[in-house]
Amino acid sequence: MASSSSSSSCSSSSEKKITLKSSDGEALNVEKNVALEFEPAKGFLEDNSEEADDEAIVVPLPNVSAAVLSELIPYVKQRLELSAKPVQKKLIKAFDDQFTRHLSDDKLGELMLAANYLGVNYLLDVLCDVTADRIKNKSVEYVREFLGIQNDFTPEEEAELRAQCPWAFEGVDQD
Amino acid sequence: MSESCNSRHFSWLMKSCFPNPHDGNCKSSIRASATRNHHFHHHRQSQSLTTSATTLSSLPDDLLLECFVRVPSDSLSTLCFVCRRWSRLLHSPSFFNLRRHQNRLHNTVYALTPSASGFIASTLTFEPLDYTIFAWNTRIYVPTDYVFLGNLYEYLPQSRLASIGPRIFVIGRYATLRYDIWTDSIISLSRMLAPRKKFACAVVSGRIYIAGGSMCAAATVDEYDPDSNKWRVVSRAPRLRYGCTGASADGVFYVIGGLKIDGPPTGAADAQMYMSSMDLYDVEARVWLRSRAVPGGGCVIAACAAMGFIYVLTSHAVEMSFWRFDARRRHGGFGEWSRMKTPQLAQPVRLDGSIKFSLVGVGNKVMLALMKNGRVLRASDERFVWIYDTVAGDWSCGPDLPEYIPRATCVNLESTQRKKARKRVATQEFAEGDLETRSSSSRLQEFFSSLFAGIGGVFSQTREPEMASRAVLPQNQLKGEVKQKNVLADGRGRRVLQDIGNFVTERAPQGKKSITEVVNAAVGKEKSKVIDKPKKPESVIVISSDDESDESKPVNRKISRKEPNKSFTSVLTARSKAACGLINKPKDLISDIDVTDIDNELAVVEYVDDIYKFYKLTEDEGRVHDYMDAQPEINAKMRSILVDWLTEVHRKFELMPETLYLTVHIVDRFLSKETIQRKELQLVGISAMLIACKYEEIWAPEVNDFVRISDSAYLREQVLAAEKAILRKLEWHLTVPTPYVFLVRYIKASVTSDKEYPTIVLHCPSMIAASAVYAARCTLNKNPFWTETLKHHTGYSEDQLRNCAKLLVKFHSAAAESKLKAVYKKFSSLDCGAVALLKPAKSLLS
Repeated sequence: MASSSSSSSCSSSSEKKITLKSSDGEALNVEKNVALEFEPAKGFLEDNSEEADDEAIVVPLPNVSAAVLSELIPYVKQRLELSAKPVQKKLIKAFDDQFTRHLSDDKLGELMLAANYLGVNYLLDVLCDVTADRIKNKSVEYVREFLGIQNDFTPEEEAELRAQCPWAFEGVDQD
Repeated sequence: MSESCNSRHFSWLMKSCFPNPHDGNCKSSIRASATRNHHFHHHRQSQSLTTSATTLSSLPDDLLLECFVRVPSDSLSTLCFVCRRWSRLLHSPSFFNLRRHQNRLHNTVYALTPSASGFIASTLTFEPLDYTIFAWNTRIYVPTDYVFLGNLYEYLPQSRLASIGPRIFVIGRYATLRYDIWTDSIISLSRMLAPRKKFACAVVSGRIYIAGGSMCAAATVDEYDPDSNKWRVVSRAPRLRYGCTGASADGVFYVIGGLKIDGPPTGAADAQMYMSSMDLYDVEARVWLRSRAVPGGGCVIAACAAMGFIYVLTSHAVEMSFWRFDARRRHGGFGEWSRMKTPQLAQPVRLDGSIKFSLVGVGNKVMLALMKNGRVLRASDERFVWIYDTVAGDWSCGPDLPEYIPRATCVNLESTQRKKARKRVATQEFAEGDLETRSSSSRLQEFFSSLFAGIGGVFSQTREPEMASRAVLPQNQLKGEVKQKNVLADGRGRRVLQDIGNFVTERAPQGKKSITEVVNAAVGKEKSKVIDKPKKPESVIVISSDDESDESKPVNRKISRKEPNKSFTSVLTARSKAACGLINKPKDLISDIDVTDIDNELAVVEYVDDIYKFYKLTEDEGRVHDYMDAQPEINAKMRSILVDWLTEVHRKFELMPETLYLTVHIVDRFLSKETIQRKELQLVGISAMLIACKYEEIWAPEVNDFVRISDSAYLREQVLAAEKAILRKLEWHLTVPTPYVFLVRYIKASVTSDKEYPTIVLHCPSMIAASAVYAARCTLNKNPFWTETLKHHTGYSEDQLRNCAKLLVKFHSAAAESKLKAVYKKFSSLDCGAVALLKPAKSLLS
């Protein structure tokens, strides 16, 4: 829903800049149409729309770090440009692939949290797909190691599980 | 069983043969650690656990669920073992709701019948969206927990079923079992607080509720929590109903119909009131709502919930009526009854003890199953299925329940799992097997009950129906083989076999007769002994003359056959033996391995020696040279990946062992003659298996099955084109001695029944087979390792084999650590005797 509202406003207010303040106190200047993609920012702007000068508005985003924001902003910007044009889905997909391909798992998680908080649903979709892709067809051991998940089954339970279905532990893919 | 052999895995492995340029440092270091030795692996793992918990692992539940929803169903079962939280999330109702939302759930109706050793389960799968259905599939499930093994049959018949997520709960008087379709395991859970039977049961928000039923406990409503595995009493029921049905919709547990068993016996009107009414229990508010009466005053015979409605089938003396109750509480129409179209039964059904109705809600459909036990009335059995479309408001006929399901309890399970092509093949086999014994189809059920009456040899039991359905397969195959051999021999002008060919035709009618004889005998035997020991597979399978026949012989059936008199054949055999100088060995050293098969025509003892001599003569023709140097895009690693994958597919389709050998042989011969691109390798594998199946199998999988198992990597047309290309390249010459044919013979000579066979192409087939037997004997410490009998039949001495055998043992010891597990896994399983887990014969290597 965020994307539909912004695509209409993108042509008119693309020059206006908004300042976003990240959790670690850094201020980032973004175009208004990009900022409108972020739901907390959108709500904030709507609440403070009586102020004449957009430049003066500083939107606090206390849950997102500057590092993550600086990755998000170019993505959202390009994605907006893409979706403004009548391009095929293939191109958007290629663009998404390119964006996610080099993400580390930590980054993936951070971005997902940020996208969830900011309500960028299309990005969340893409990130979830990538995560699903990375954990599928893997052995239990591998997923635990890969995601750094603490195995909280007791040794007895673990042994039982292993006995039940040894194939789950034998590693479908190692890598 | 639920592991898949999808080709993503395959293509992934193919990629792994090359370094991925996009690999970051972190990933490759993990890979290195994974492939290095175990100790290091562990070390690293513990390190990574203590140092870093990634952001991914600390995601909130809803985000993790979003990710899980996108994971293909094959992987879900693995993921639920990762940690408690994941397991909880994956079994949570919200996961299934999300999944349903995405149309990624399949409705499958399970019709379960308890047997002495487990369940016979027939499943009917509805495709998502359009609810297309095919036929019933049948499987036998055996609990891994043996505590209840003896009691199942006794305790579970009047049980009720409930499904939560991927699990089916079988709630019986004295036992509660849980079958998990992800892990394919059955375990026993804590049983209900007090035994009851014919009670109402339904699932409301992830918990099971039961009410009514016989005996003292019926006065309460009990709740079962699958997370804590505990039962508790939640309420007292206003009425005691016996034989009632349960359903749930919108947080309400409906206890419908049943006989009055509380209070002093009053008038018939009171009893009638019980039978045509239902009690509503609001689970969340823990209150009873106003009870409702089913209009029309008929007595309820079946009920279920679907799409927010409760559907009730009632009976009035001779006719039935079908009602819908609006159970959507936040909807204006709550509590409204409407009369729906009545199913058109073929003939009026008399309701008595022999008949059972079952209504199951399946998405927007309602399935009605009618099971009539003919044995009670000495009439025929009936198991009809109708499907009611709640949208169109009309009934249609569904596929009949299989005949061997005497009386089933049905439940719908929304599963994420999609069993692939293999299932359809299995059904086909069953149907065919059924056809074979059509003359005594009414006895089939007894056949099955006798099958399951005996306990012990659980694993062989699970395979027996398959055996039965394949009863005629080995004979046909053998015949076919001989015949084809003839044709080919003629075409290629081989004189040796032409001679023998005469006798084949001479003996053919006799052999044919014996086939029907065997089948009839098998069926007849089952007919006469209803409660007999489980049918021994060997009474039918004996004809295949493979390794099993040795053990089976002592218990073999008596079918009167003429003694092996001096036939023309035997004279000729003796003559040809003499001509080849086979007799000049000291006779006492070589035991006659065919002596036990002397009255079994299908073992063709008269000329089996000639057949093998011919095999040995021709094996060099099909021998493959090392072609890897000639192939620019393919290396040995890829071939092994292909073979590994083929083994898995072969196992999935449940094909004959000969097929796999022939497939590999075709692949090798084709590759030695033609250079192909890397991406075509799998295509060659598929097509080769298709050819091999057509050659060896009676019921070969269809082309579409192969397309599906390769995850639609290739089109149907491509597979067919490749098939043609291969056949042209091989000049249609498919009758070749593969290592398997030698293996069966040599194993017979060795009198051990284990096999293991990593394939080495550079040696000739008989050499490999002989070495395999040699290596196996070494592994099992059978002294002496090589006997004169073996030497006679193989034509190899111990020294000649040592090198090849060494290679095999090396493969064996490496198999456990190797990445390509299909072969290892196959032979680790119990039905293959778990031979892969034996210690490699190190003595041979030193």
